[in-house]
Amino acid sequence: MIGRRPWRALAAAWVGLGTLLGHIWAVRWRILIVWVLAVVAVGAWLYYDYYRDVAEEHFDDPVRQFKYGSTGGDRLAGIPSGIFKALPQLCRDYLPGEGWQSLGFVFEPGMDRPAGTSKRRSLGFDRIALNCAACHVGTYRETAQSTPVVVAGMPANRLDLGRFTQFLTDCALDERFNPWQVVQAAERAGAHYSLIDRLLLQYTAVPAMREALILARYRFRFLDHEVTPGPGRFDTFGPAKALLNWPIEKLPPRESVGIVDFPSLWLQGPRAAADMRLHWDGNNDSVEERNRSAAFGTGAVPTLIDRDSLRFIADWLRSDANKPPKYPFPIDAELAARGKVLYGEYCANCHGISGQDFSGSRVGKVEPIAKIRTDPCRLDNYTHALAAEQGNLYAAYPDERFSHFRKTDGYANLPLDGIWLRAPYLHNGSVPTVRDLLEPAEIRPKVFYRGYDVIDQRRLGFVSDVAVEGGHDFFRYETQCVGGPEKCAGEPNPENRHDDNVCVPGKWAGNSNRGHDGAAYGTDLPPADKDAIIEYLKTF
Amino acid sequence: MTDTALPRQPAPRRGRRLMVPIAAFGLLAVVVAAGAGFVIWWKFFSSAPQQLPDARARFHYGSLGGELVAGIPYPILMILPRVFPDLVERYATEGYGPDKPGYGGYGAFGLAWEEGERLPVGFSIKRMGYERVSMNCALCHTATYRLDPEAPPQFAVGGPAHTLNLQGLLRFLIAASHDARFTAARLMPEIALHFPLDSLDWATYSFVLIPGTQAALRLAEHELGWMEQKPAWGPGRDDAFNLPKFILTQTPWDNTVGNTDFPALWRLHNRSGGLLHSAGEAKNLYAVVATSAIGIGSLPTDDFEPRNEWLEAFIAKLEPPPFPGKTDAELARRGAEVFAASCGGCHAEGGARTGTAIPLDEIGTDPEHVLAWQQRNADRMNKIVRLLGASNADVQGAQDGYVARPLVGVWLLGPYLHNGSVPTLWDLLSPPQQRPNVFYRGYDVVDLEKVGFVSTGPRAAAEGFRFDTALRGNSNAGHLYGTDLGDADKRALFEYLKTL
Repeated sequence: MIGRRPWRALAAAWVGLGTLLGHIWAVRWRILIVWVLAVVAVGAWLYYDYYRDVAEEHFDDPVRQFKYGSTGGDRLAGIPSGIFKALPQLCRDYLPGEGWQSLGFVFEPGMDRPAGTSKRRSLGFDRIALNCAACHVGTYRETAQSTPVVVAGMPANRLDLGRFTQFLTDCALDERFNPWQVVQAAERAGAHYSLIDRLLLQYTAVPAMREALILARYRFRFLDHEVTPGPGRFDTFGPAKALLNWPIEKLPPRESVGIVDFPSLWLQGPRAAADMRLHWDGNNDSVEERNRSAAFGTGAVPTLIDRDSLRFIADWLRSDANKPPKYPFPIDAELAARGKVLYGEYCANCHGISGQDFSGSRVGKVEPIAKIRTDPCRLDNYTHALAAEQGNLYAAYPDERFSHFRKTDGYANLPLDGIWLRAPYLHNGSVPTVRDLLEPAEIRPKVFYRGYDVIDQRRLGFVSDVAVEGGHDFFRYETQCVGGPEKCAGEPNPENRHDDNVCVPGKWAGNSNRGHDGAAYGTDLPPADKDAIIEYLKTF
Repeated sequence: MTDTALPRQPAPRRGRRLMVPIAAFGLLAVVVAAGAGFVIWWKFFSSAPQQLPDARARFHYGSLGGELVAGIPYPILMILPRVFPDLVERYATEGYGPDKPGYGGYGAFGLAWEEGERLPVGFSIKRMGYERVSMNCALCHTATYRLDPEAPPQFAVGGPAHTLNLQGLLRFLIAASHDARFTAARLMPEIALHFPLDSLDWATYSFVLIPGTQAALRLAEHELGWMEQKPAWGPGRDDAFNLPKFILTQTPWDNTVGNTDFPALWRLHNRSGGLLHSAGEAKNLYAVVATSAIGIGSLPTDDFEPRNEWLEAFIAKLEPPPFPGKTDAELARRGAEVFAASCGGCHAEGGARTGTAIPLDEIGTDPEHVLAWQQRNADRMNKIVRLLGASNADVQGAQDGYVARPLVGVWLLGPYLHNGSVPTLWDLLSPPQQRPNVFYRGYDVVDLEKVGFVSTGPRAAAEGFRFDTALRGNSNAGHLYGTDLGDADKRALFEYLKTL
C-alpha cells in the first residue's frame, strides 16, 4: 500500500546495523550500547514522524468540518501542502488567472487553503486533498461590487473541476515539475523542510506525485470524449468507470457523455426519510451509499476512508441545521401568494409543496425520459453494466457494500429547496434562469455564460450574459451549434437533437436545453403567471 | 579414586542439565508448530457458512463445494478486469460482430449480473480462510432477456444462459495468468484499495495466493488446450462432454466436437423415466446434478449428497416465465390440435417417444455431439466418479441420436436444436434450406415475432456472436417436423408453441 513504506525504516536499520557491527568487531561494547540506544531513538522518531496518520484539522463545528474536514481521500490523493500552495505559482501560465481562485476555488478569511480541501499529516507531510465541499460550497453576490457570500451545501457554481484536472496534468507534464524546482517553489511559497523532508520529497514524493497525476489523467480520459464541463459541472460516473478501469474508448458513443451540474446538499434528512431516488437519474435511494460513492471522487477508497469524519459530516447533512439560506432580497408577498397557487397546480406534484415541505406524489420518483424529454446523454451514460459492477465496491465491508445502485429510465424529480442558488437549471445546467426554464425549449437561450455569481433577481438564477469581469473570462455555454451554416454543416448533430430520447453523439451532446416543457410544465402560461411562480420560488 | 569418581559423577548431572533446555526447546517447537498450524488453518481453511436469504439466492449464489478444487480468491478475481482491461475487451469481443462494445468488468462476458450483487449469478463466495469464488449451476442456467432494448435485462431462473460467453471468460483468465502484469507488485496495490490487509495478508497474497492462482490458471490452460483446436463455443454453449472426458477422466485428446447449448432446468420432475442430456447421457436427474457438481470442482464429501438432493428438488419444480407477448387464444387452441397430431408423440409430456433418443438417421440433426461421448468414455467416468466416492451418479454413452424433450418455456430456449444452430422457432419450422446460415447469437432482446432472440440487424450484430452453421458441430440440418405443414396449420402450431 502507498501508506506503508517499510524501506525507510529498513534503510535506517541498515545504517545502524552497519555501525553496530563495526563496533562489535572492535569489542567496544560500551559505545555499542550508546549506539543501540541512539539507533532505537532515531528509529522511533522517524517512525513517529513519518508514519503518523492524523487529520490535523478537525473542527467541532460541523459546517467547518464539512468545508475543511477530511474524507480520508487525502491519504491517497493528498498533495503536500507546500506543493499545493506552490503549484499555481510554479505553473501559473496554465491557469486562467492568479492562484487557485482563478479556477473558482473559494477562499475564506483566516484559512490558507480553499473551502473544499482537507489537511492531513500522512507519510511525513501535511497533505491537502479535495473533500465534499469542493463541489458543494458556492458563492453569490447581490451586485458585482458586493462581497461574495459563501454558502455551504450550495452547488460550487464557480469551480471548474475539469480545468483543475487539466491544470494538474499540464503542470505534471511540464519540465518545471521536477523534484528540485517543485521543492524550491514550495519553500518559496513558505514551506520549511528538514534535510530528510527535502530528500524524501525529491527522491520519493514528487516523482510519485507526478506519476500519480499522469496515471489519474489516463484514467480520467473519459473527459476527452465529451463536452467541456466548465464551472459547476463534471462527469460524475466517469470516475466510477475510471476506478473500474473500463476501456473508455470502446464504450458505445451514446454512453460517453455524463456531464451534470453539481447538486445542492441541503435537507438530506427529509430526502432520506421519503426514500427519494438520489442522483440526477435517481440511480440510488440510499443516502449513505450515495455519500460513500461521492467520497470515491475525493480519493476515499474503502481502505482509506475516514469513517469518523464522514459520519460527523453526514450527520450534519441529515440534520435540520443543514438548510438553504433565506432569499436575502425583497419578495413581493402578494405576487408570491398568487404564484403559490399556480405552483401548486403545475409543479408541486413533482417538486413538493414548498422549499421545506417535500410532499407530492411524484417527488423523488424517476420521470421516464419519454415524458421529461430533457437531454438523454447523462441517462445513457449510466448503464446496467455499471450499476451491476458497482455491487462489488466496498465488497470487503458487508455493512457498507454498494447494493442500491439501479439503472433507471429517466431523471428524478427533485425538491426545490434553495432553488434560487441552484442555477443554471436542469441536470446539465443548460438553462440559465428559472424564467428561461418556464419558456418553451425553442426560445431558451442557445448561448449563455456560466460561473458568474451575481443573482439575477428578476429571472431568478445567476446573471448569465456577462462574458468577462475583471479580466476573468466566464464559461461560454452553447446548447447547440450557434454559428452559421458554414460552421455548423461540418459538425455531426449540430442542432444537438436527440429525437428518440437516445443520446446522439456530437460536439454539443449533453448540453441540450430541451425537455421539461409544454403545457404541463407551465411553459404556455402568460408571462405574468410565470413571474408569479418565480416570486413564490424565491421563498424556497 | 577421585579420578574415576569425578568423571562419573558429573555425567548424569550434565545429562540432567541438558534435559531442561531440550525439554524447553521441544516445548517451544511444539508451541511454534501449533501456532503456525493455527495460523495456516485460520488463513486458509477456517470457514464460515454463507448467508443466503432464500432458495433462489441459494441457487444463484450458493456454494456447491468447489472452493478447494476450483476456488479463486475473491479479491484477486475481482480486480483482474481492472488490471487487464485490454484482455477483457479482447476475449469478450472475439468472434462477435465488429461493433461489439468493449465493456469493462466481468459483465462483458454476458454474465447475468443482478444490480446490487457482489458477483454475477452463478458465482458463490465462501470464506475458507479467505473468500473463495467458485461456480454453481446458475452460471450456465440463468437466462437473460429483455423485451425493450432500452431496459435493463431480466433474469429467468433455470433458463439457458444463452448470453454467457464461458469460453471467452476462461480465455481471459488464462491470458491474464500469462501476462507480465500478473505479479503481486501490480495486483496488490489494486487489492489494497478495496480490502483491508494486515501484514500477514500481504505475505499470504504476495507469496501464496497470487502465485498459486497464477499456477492454477496455467494448469487450467493446460487442461483446456484441446478447446483451442475446435470451433469456438460461442455464447450459450460449451463442449459439455469433452470437458469431463479430457479433464476429469484424462482421456487422450481426440478431434470430436461436442458443442452443445446450455439447456433449461424447468419442470424437470416430469422427466423421470426418460433420458436426460442432449444425447441421453444420463438416466436420472440425480446423476446429472451429481456429475455436474463434480464437473465444477465439488468433491463427494459429507454434504455432497444432501446438497445435490436440495438442488434436484429445487430445479425439479422450476417454471419458466410465461410468454410476454400477445397470443391468439383461438389460434393457439387449433395449434394444440396440430401439435397433438404432429409433435406430441415426441414433445408432449407422456408422448410415446418423449424422453427417448430419436436416432440420427431419423432426426438428421448435426451428429458431432453424439460422436463425442462413447460408452467407453462413460465407463471410465463412472469408475472415477465412484472412486471419488459418489454413488448413484452413473452416466452412459451417448445414444444414437438426440433426446426428444417435453417442451417447456420454448420462447426462451432460442437458438434452437441441441447445438443452437437455428435462431428462431419460425426458422425451425422452415425447411433447412431456408434457415439462416449465419446469424448472431447472444443478444438478449426477445424476438416476439419469430420467437427466439433477435439474431439479425445492427444491434444483434453489434452485441452478438457470429454463428456460422458451416463449422463443425454447427449444422442446422434435420428436424424437418412441421416444415411441411400448410401455412394455416403452421401458424396455428407456432401460436401454440409460444404458450408452452
